[in-house]
Amino acid sequence: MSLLKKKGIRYAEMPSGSMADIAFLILIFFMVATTIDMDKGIGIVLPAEGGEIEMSSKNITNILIDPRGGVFMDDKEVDIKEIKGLIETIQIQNPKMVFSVKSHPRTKYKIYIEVLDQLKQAKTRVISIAE
Amino acid sequence: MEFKKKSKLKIAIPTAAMPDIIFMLIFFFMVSSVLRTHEGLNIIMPKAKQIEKLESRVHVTYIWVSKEGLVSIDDKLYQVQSIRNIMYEKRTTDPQLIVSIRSDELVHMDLISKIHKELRLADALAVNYSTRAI
Repeated sequence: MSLLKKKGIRYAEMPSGSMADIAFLILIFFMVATTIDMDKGIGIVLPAEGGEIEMSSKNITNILIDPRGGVFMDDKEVDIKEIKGLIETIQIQNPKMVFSVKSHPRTKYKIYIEVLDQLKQAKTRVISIAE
Repeated sequence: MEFKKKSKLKIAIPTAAMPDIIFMLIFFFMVSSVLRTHEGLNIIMPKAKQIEKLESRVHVTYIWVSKEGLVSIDDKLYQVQSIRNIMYEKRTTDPQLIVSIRSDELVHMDLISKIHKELRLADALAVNYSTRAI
């Protein structure tokens, strides 16, 4: 009897039938998990050139922004965070109110956007950009 | 003489390697794909809360404004005064044009006002100020 009998070669196999399923799962996971970044921002419509409309001054609230970032609503200085609340009350009193945003040439764009953001948050219908 | 029927050949494409190929494709695309970040100028956009999404990029043209006062459209630098011609041309080819202003938060409003003026002259009135979400 020979102890050194060669054993028959054994094949060990991994089941590979479901491998494609796994690949597809990963593929679908990445497809779902990938977010294509969308552009977000504040949308406005500029007035057409030469299309200035005369308006009664009682239907206009002027919002002025000075170079250091101070905001004046009808000549009263207000905090940027307060604008939303103030505007909401004005809109209840006068739904036709138009808000005119006017900024000093040295005003930072950041402040301007913050003010516009407040106006948008208050669901303002008409925003006018004064030059 | 009798014609002997030839034995039928069994032809099969081996499909065992199919998952490997799919994996290779997945990895290739995972590694090679760079999610396109924005070209343009180096800017920090302002933050805002009440923001809306731009529906599609098809009709959108970006104007990049850096804090140094550079203005870039379609990866080329322009003078502010030439915006009207560029935008007018774009507006005639695509009436649904939306102009997205991607400006640094430290830009002064005089430059933005000039851009407004140019856009009004070009009749490109739909504007979107790109912002970051808070």
